[in-house]
Amino acid sequence: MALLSSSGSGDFQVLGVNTDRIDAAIAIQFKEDMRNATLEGPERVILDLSAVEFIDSSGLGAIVAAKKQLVDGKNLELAGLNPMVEKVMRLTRMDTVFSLHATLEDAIETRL
Amino acid sequence: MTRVLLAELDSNPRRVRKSIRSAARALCDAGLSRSLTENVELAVTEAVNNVIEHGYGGRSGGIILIEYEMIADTLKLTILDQSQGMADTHLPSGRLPDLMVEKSDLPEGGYGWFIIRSLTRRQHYSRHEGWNRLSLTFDL
Repeated sequence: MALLSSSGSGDFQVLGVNTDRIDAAIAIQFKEDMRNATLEGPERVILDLSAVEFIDSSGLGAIVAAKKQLVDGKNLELAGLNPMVEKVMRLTRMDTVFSLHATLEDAIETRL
Repeated sequence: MTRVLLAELDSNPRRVRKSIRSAARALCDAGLSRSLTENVELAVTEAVNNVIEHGYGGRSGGIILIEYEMIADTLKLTILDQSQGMADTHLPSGRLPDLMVEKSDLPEGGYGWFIIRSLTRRQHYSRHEGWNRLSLTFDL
């Protein structure tokens, strides 16, 4: 099964992560898949992490890499953070780098 | 209390996930809080990832042991391996990489030791008779 599924309206793209872990075992594939999924499409990209229960520093690095890979003008937001994922994000101050939304609905309703 | 073997792993990133998760679950079943169990799983994962990547050079087939010990109000987890070991026995400082930089300069690595240090009270590395030992102490 592909790691990511893409959907969205004209204003934003939602990338749903289909794995419960973003870690050392899949970090490279994740980064690659993110790059391919965001080559085209709207500027606002929302990564839906609702299915993800665990990330480690490799997973964190892959998400940062995904943001860096985005074409200029595009931005990456994170949504649906489960407690453990949110713990890692806040611990590493990633809330200063990414907009974090509790749910996908929150993300979609937020106008930046 | 003596050290108890919790898990024996093979240095393969996919296979270690299950083993570390089972080891953490065993500690949880023995009474560890959910939050601490998460911290243990994360810190041990970071340490094991380092052993696989830097110790065994990403190769499978390397042995990694996880032992645990309860001492007073702490839990000590020891990760043992037979790789070449660390050239410098001083553990990485684990300072959080600077995030107040341009997007293109955002660091993709260097978070592992920061995470380990944040979640543990103490860390100690030693090498003895071909075995590397990294112990991580958690407050209960």
